[in-house]
Amino acid sequence: MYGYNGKVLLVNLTDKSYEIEDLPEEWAKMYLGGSTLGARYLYRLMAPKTPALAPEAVLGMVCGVTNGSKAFMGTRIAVVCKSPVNDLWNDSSCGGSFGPHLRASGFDAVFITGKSEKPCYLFLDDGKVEFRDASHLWGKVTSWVDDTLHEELGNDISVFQIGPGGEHQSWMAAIICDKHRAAGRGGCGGVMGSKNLKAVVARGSHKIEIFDNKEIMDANKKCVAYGNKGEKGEHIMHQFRTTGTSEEYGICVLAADAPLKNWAGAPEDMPEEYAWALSGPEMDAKHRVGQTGCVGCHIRCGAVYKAHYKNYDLDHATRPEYESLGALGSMLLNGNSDVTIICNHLCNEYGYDTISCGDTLSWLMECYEKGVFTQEELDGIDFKWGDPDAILAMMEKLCACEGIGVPLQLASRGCARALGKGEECCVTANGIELPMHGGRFNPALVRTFQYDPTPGRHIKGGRGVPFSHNPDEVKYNYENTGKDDVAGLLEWEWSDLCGVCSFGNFLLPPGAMQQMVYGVTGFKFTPEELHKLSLRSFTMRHAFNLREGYRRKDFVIDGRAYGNPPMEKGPLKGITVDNEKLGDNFYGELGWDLETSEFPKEFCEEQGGLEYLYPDFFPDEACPA
Amino acid sequence: MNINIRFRTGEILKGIRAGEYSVPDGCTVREALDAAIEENSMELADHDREYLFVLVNNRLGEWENTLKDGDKLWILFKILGG
Repeated sequence: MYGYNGKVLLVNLTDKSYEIEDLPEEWAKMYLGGSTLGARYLYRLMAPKTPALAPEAVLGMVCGVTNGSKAFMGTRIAVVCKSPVNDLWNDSSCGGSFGPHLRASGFDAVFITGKSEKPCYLFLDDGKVEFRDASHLWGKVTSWVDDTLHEELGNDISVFQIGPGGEHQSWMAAIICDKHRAAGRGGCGGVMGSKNLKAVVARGSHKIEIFDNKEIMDANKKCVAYGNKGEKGEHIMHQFRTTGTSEEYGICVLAADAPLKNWAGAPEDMPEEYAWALSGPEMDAKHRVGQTGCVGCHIRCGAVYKAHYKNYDLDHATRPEYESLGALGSMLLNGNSDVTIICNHLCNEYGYDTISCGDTLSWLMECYEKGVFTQEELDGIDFKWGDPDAILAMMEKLCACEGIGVPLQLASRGCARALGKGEECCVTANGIELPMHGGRFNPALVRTFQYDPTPGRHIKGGRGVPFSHNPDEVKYNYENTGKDDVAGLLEWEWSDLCGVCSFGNFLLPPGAMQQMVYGVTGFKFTPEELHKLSLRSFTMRHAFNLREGYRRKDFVIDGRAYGNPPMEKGPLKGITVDNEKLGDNFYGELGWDLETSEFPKEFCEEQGGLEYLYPDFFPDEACPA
Repeated sequence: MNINIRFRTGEILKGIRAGEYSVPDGCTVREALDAAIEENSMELADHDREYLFVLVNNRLGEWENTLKDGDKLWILFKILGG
């Protein structure tokens, strides 16, 4: 089988056992990799109604198709699990070195169940599997653990680990790779921590058999040429090479795309200079000391930063991504770039998702402003909007998991419910804090936020972020949105299971990813087959939720996210998005039940690869042999 | 009439002057931008224009919007997601 080791590792931490299964070739062709292949396995391995943090819960790490090949930008790995926030399907993607190293260690995926009696780490070493003691690593920040394990095991490893946030089983804990790349969303780090699993370390020399390396090299050449002078990708590639995603920050604030003040603010609430202070060119001029990027990426959109504030003196932090800038910047009315970089660094070190972290702090700021929490309840912190000292102090409470930092581990809605107040200020989709592109600015995202199987994501399929640039009469027209919405599923499902960075959707020439997948595996898909693949992938993730008993009515989104009630000021004044109409159109286009979001058998038969769902979803109907 | 134009367009139109521009009454956003480009002896390729969008008085605008005296424009690099 080209492109795969053909081996999947199943680990049980309770009894420290494991087995190695063959990856069926049919599954490779039908589900490819990433969260789609992960969904197939998780459905089989994890019984319904298993609590997300129970020992019986399963955590998966699944290579994307291009991991282990020379395809540019092809290093992303998917983490799959149930989210502790809402007990729904969760998948989160991560760049960096772990995906290729997992492939090189001899496995295409690893699924972990059980709970170790004591903190441990899993060492996947060229086909061998070892359970190693992690007591000397537990409680330590990710950079220390990464350095320590490299000293102990050598430089040819990759470490995929939780920080103290995951050890506290935080619902906003991330899994961190290379000290600053994260599978951030949905609390997957908390799931890992609930198993007393500090890290998965991979090393190896396995080389997958490549179908046609010339195709991959040709695709790579086209990727480079796309950014040449005069080519369509020239300027976007230059932007990413120089300032990464941070270039967008000030623009998004100005345009009222980036949220401010826990989604209640308008651009006029923050001085314009704050927006530029956290934007790429300005930050680079003040903080940049070097460039960085993921393994195998020809763009290398990251930067190494220095930052200084009070007793913090960092000389090797990373430039925050756009989402982090919004969550730790405009959401808090914060214009201090040093503090933003430090908070981003703390999230990397302690293993927290920057989006949920910033949103949670923003929620708490609003609660404090409204008197829901007193200063005493916040451990004496005068938690005012935009106060850099207060922001840092609260981050430190979170990282130390002390005082108010304890309930904050549960993120905004979890904290509100634990303390019995403040939920009216939450802005989430099924408990998941929202990313930094607003639904009132871009109604297309409201459907994605509310009805994607992983709620609260902007890089899941649909009409997408660029839809925001349409004229108002297009953007706020809720008729006939289903066709484009469903067609838009492909882009993001495809980049995920390919293992290619999401930015490839606009940084790579059209057709490049398909050529890479073909070069690696020999799999060639017609446009119709690609469309079916995207629908199959979406359905598999949704089916996991349906099997848990969720129906459409259970996919809820807080009103402020879509303008209910509408804002009374700013460019988005008066806008309320018709979220239910968008949902009706979406499910209607799929041919699914509008009330329940259940899919008919005919739909499954048309897409293929969904027969495994029939016993649960169509038990009274004849199943194929 | 006078229009204030500011730019945040990365490498596209790099170095173009930000500030007041005198344009014909009733011109569109597109025409005002083209006037600024011409005044600065620059060019804007069609595929580069696709990467730009405009705010008119801090609200999302369109290239064919008619301007009035004193309007403020931001010409910005498109939001693609990050």
